[in-house]
Amino acid sequence: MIKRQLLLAFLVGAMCLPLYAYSHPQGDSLKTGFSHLRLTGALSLAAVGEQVNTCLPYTGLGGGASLAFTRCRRNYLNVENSFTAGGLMPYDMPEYNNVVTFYYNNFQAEYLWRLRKLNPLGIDFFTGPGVNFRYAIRMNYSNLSNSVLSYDMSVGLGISLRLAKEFSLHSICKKANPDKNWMVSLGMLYPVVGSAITPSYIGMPENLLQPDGSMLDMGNSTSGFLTRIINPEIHAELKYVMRNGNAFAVNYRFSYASLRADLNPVKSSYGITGLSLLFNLKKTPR
Amino acid sequence: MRMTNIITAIVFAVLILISGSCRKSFIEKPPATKKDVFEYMWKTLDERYTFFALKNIDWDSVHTVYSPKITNDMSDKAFFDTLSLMIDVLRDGHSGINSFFDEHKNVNFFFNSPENFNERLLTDTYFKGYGNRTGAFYHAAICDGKVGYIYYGSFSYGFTDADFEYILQLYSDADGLIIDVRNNFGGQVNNVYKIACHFTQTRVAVLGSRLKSGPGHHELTGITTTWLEPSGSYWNKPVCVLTNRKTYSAGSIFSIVMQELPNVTVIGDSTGGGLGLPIGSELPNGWQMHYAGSMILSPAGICHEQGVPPDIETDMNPVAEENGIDSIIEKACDVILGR
Repeated sequence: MIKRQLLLAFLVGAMCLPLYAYSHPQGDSLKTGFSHLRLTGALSLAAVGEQVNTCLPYTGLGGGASLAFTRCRRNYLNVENSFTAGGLMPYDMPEYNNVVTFYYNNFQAEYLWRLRKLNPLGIDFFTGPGVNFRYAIRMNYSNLSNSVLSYDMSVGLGISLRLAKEFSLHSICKKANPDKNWMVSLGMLYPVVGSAITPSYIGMPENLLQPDGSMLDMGNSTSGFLTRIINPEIHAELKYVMRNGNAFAVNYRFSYASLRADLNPVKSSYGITGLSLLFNLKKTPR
Repeated sequence: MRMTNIITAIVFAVLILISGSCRKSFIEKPPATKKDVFEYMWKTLDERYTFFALKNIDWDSVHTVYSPKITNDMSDKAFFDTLSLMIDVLRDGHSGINSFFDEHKNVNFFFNSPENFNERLLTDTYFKGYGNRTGAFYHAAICDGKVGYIYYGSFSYGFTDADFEYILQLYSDADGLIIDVRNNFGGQVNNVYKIACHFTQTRVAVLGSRLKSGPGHHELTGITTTWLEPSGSYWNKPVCVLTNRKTYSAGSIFSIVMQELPNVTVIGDSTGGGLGLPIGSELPNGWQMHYAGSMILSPAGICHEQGVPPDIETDMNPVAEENGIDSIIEKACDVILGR
């Protein structure tokens, strides 16, 4: 209970920040204002705990890609869709060699205002609203008859925070370029309200026997506030910007979902490590 | 600069810790002693199996009987056999259990019933050693070419619309058609509709279905009606469907669907039933079980889980069988030809 109250207090406080940021816009944009199209190749570490057809937690590896548009001037805009797929196996159960294939897609968009720089470190702080839509599909090919398929989907609207810091390696290595062409950033999107869809009680849709029946059943939806649909996402990135404005980046994204549906609640996490190529879309190179 | 680096390092460390602890919060193996596995299996069936009421099974008494037989130090084989006996209480061909070393399935739905099928009679008497096969269908013209005969051995065997259209065209001059689904244990329900849609000119309600919707034995969804739409060329002559006790699951569904259509007569023995679509669950020790999680009904709301009765009940005559005659096929020919 105390945990929940602390979480609530933190989130209520955090929700005030975008309002403050909106009413106190900062004019001095980042030196490295940019507009990038981002292509990412990624490896993912996934873990899923569900109930519809198994009581076993599954973990495994996957690979994927993402496409994003990011613009940072006075404000920060990011629209991104990432996809990953792979295989899961029962956690810590070597005698059971079952493989569950998974597909995971995550779309998110955020529009953030820049708040006062955090002195004396010179860290830029952005905050604003964010939205995400994610779905995961899993196919379990062991002897489970019509319970092969499980899935979960969620959509959330919440607050997004981003910290960014530009720096140069010149202070470490004197031969390095004195320009601040490196950037490290950390962000979080925490949905405050959300809705989720999980399988029906036995996992079979009511229209399964129809000639045009589907394996998906959208009837079991749950909506909630804060602690019912917990679906935060955090991401960190180290980026190197070249003279022409293009950039490379390594990044890590962690998505956690605890969808406390009345039927078949699901918990899952996806840790995705990626390597990105960022193409400069600004007319004037940096 | 150094301070920034330190802060950045701390932030990343916190990030990794958060992600690690979130992962750990649910990546825990469930308790998997033999007693735990037994309790999980009993409870899952208690909350999700469909036919306790229909079959008048006292599942609580099953727990009373089997729970004392489970000990954590019993062998895996003995444990598997005990769980198999417990699931057999359901008397359901869709129920069973799979371990890493063995598989147990209940097949008592055709025990103590006449076989009512002899494949050699098909090949020797009716196909005369020359069977044609189109897609999944073996077929031949019988009764001096007056009847088209089709044998479909499993609804798991796929076929195209063109395959079935070809067969209908091939026997279009015949007086009627026999579709034999004896010894057909089921498969894809969609294949039922792909055949049946040729035998109606109007949209027909052919099935009802209810799913388990909660843990109580009577908690089921309302009835969802399945409608069959006509499609492809229409066969407007008599059709006989042949069934026996080994006609099961999608085979039973086929029998129900066809009985709702005009010009169709089902002949033979009652099917084996299997009218709860099976679902499955993994047990805490990695074994799997499967069981019925739904209830399929006729459009009149009757569940023939114990077997779909034919329109004309008849068994194969053993004396005729000795003489190379399949009396169920002959009965169908009589119906089609009005003999």
